[in-house]
Amino acid sequence: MNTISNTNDSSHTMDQIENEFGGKPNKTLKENIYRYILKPLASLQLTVVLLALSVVLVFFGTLAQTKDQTFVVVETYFRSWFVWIPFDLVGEFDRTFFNLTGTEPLPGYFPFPGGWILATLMLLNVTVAHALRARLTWKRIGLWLVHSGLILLLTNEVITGVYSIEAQMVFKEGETLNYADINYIPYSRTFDLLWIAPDSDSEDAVTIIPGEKLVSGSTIDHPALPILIKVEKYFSNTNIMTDAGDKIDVDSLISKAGALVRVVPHREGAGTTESRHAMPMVEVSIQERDTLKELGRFKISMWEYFKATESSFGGLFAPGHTIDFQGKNYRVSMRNKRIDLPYSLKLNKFTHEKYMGTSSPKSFKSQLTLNDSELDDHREVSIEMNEPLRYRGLTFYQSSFFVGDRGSVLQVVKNPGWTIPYVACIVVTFGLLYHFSILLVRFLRGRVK
Amino acid sequence: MNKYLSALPYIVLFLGVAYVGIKAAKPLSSENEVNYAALGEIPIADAGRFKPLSSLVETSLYIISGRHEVVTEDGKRIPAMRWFVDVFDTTKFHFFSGPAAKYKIFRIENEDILKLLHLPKRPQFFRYSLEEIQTYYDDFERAVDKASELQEKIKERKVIVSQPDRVRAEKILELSEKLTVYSKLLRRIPSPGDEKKPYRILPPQQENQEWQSLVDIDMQVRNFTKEEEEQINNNRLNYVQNILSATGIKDPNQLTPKQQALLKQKLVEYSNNYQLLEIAPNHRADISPLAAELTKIFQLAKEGNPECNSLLKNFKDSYYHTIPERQMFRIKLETILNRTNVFYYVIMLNIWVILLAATSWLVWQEPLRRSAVYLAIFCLVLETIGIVMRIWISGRPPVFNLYSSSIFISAGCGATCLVLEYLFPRALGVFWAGVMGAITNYVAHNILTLSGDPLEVVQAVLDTNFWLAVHVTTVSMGYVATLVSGGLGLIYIARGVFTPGFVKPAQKELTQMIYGTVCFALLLSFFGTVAGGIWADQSWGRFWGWDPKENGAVLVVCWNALILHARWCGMVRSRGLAVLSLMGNMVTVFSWFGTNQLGVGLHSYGFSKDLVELCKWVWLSHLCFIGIGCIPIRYWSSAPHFLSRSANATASSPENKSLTSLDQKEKKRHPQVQV
Repeated sequence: MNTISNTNDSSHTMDQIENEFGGKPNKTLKENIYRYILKPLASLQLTVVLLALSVVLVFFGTLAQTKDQTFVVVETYFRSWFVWIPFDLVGEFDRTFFNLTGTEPLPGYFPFPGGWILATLMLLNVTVAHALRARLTWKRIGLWLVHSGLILLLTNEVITGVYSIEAQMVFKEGETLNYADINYIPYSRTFDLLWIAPDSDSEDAVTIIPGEKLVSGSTIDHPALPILIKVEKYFSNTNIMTDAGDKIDVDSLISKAGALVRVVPHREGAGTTESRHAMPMVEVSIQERDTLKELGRFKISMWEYFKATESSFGGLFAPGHTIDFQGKNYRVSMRNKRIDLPYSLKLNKFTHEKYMGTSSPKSFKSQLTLNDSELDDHREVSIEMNEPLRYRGLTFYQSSFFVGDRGSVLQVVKNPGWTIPYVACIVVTFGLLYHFSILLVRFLRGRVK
Repeated sequence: MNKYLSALPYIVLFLGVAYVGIKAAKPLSSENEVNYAALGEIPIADAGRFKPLSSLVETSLYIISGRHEVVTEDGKRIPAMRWFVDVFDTTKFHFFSGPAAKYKIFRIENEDILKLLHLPKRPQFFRYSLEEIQTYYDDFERAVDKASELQEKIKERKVIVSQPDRVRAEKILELSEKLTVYSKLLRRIPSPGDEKKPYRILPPQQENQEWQSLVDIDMQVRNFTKEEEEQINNNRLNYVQNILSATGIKDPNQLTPKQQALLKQKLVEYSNNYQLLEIAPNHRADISPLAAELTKIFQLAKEGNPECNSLLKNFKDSYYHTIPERQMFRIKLETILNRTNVFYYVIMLNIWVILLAATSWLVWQEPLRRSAVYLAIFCLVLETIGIVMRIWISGRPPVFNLYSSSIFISAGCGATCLVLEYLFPRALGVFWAGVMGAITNYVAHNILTLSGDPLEVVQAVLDTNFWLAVHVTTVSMGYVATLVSGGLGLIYIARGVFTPGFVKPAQKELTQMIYGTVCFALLLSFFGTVAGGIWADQSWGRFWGWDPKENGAVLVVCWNALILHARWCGMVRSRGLAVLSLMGNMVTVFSWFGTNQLGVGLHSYGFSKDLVELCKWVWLSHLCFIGIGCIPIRYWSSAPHFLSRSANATASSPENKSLTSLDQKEKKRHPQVQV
């Protein structure tokens, strides 16, 4: 049973490795490298410790979602090198199930290795282990397969973590779009500030200021801008309320267009319960370049971008903020970062079926026209629940719809590694089946004798 | 003696079959009694699917009362449909009066609520009628408003409340929920914007017609007689009088314009409702003959007049021609499933399995073990039939909500444990089959049905997809294997610590069983989890989203991998294996039910405080077991067997310490493998 028992044949492997390393003069150095670096890295004990740490990390990463939005948790716990876990997560768990700690939140944090550290060590662990025991025998094929599948899965998670982008396309029926609004990019903000100069030509000249530059207290000074933009304050999320301070149901806004509303700072929601994405707001003052004289001061928020609020209310604050400077009428506004598509999609029809007598949706379907002049591909496509469209590196999913079924929202995902899990799943499962079958056959044979 | 004993298993099996047979048999209906079972078979369209009336009635009654039939204070049993006949066609105007309000069915245990409603305590019975609740109902309504406000705040994590306050709020909302469930059985007008229509009992008569509820018919009534219009007018006057006297104002002109407008609006609403709900039913025959006939049938049934049987038969013969045969068959099947109530009897049978298996360790070893096995096989057959029927009725994969996962896992545990029992006939497998069967079915039957229709329709995204079906079934099977290995771990520790006779071969065997099931658990949970990821990739483009439920699944995978690696490198031996697999149970329960209680995520469809309690007790009890398992072996009752073993092993081959006995055996037979 040399396949799975590491300790008992370690002396044997040791000899073998020493032989492979061969040369006498450097023997001690190589021996030392082997003994103090490679061997511990390849050990099953390390595997157990890493698995235990992963269990703890995943557990707290789950609890953390009661306090923060999922993507925040993913970035701080799983796609990070290090994480400070608040003790109050233990309190949260306790309050949900046991109620021993009382009503006060627990203070303090403790440090913990993040997902990147654990994934890296696991990759090292499994690679070195297999490299040291390099012989590929029939009995070991199963384990080789399992572990190479796992390497694939971990790699996929890294690829997704670093390269995947999520966006959405908000269509009204009959609308044609050739871009998608990004709502998730790893480690960066999903929106830009726009400075729009009126132009004699049909299209306005737009200067895009990346969202990352909007740091409270900083000043944006760029040759493309005739003025300076001073960022007074940045809020990562906001909510809208009536002037009286009552909460507004965002979906009801469509009927109340023109109602007096104001945008107020708001904490980011927990888990995936908050149906919409964070709506940042920035307070800027526009200053003359030389004199630093304030020309205008605005609170600009994502609520002004009609596509950002998904389906329900469009262009409630549409006018935007205008400023007169040197006889020209400039505008400032905010919108999502975009994926520009080299083709266009037109929504022809959206259908939404419900189960009889309920409001539970039974199916959603968008019928679209795809127009790609680059590849000369023009055709009708339909996207349904569980039936996405994959086209030129992007995948389009039916995600949401307008109140009253007058439009559709597609989720657009760019994930270069999307096929990896399919391969990994097959490889690992086959490997496990193979390996455990060997064990089972051997066991049954032992019984029959 | 032995000859008689060998017949014991067959006797036990016979008794089991007879027990279920008697309980599930169709009650004999004589010509002179109302056939309530037949009334229950009336098909209805409700909450997105077709089902027999009995499904709606029994699920509702179970939520309200915790029972599938009405039991009076002196222990008399009344069939659910008999109760429903009294509820049928009542309206909110008779909410607190009439025969339906007299049934003591609302289960209230909480003392705060009893105080609030000024009700006497009824230990052992706990149930109250609407008539009794009525007196202080206004106070209760105010309490409900406060409680839901508090609940909202807790949910948004704005406040942290002490346990008693939280429990009080939960219990108040629970009773309010029961009242809502009850009022949905009444004839009611759907409020504007409410897309949940009242249940529809009138089948379409032409091709492109829809199912209709009685209110749909009543809304079409236009012609009222003179007396009736007078009655409506009088009623309106009374209503105004009542409101005015309540406020202490005599002349309506004294009201402010705002109040007058409000009063007018309320009055219109009231008289519309009154006209629709109280007067219009007299004219049903003008609009729809089948509505009138159905009303008559229930009226006769209410009076206990057996004539309704033949009327009902006529009704079924003449009006159901538009319903496809398949649909009728499914409804028939569901009636049978409701009546036989398989999963409930399985709980009882499993308790017998546990008792038989446990006794077999003391006396009459083989006959009792065999009896337990036969009974367990019978349970498995019943469960399988039940699950197949559910698949047939719903047209979905076997697992689509917590309820179905529970019964599926129960059957899975049964099957796995029986295989183990076949391999190692020591009454251990069958014992754990009994334990798991009893617990999972109890959870399904007593906790998960409280959240409503166990065959509910599901969200569009959860609708049938190949990978989804594969994912849910495999993940559930992964849970099964993990739970089975945990159970074996428990048995290992219990036998070692508390019994003196846990000898070496028995230890070896049990370790093999645990080891084998953990292997299976890893295989199934891994494949199931990744299949879930693939489904997610197809549905919304995210292979892995770190959602709580997904994390739960990955925890199970990691834990099983951890157990195996720890075993392979010798960090744990057989005792450690047992302890770790026990912890596997805790991880599984967190993944299966715990993650749903955190109130976040796409999968958080099953919040229930009973499940919170379940998680809590599973974890606490397992911590105790683990504590016991960690007692140094020299204090164990079976210590001599353990100590002698390791002494021998050390003497013969020190480096073999870490090997499982399985491996040792293997080595002896194939020594060349090592080289």
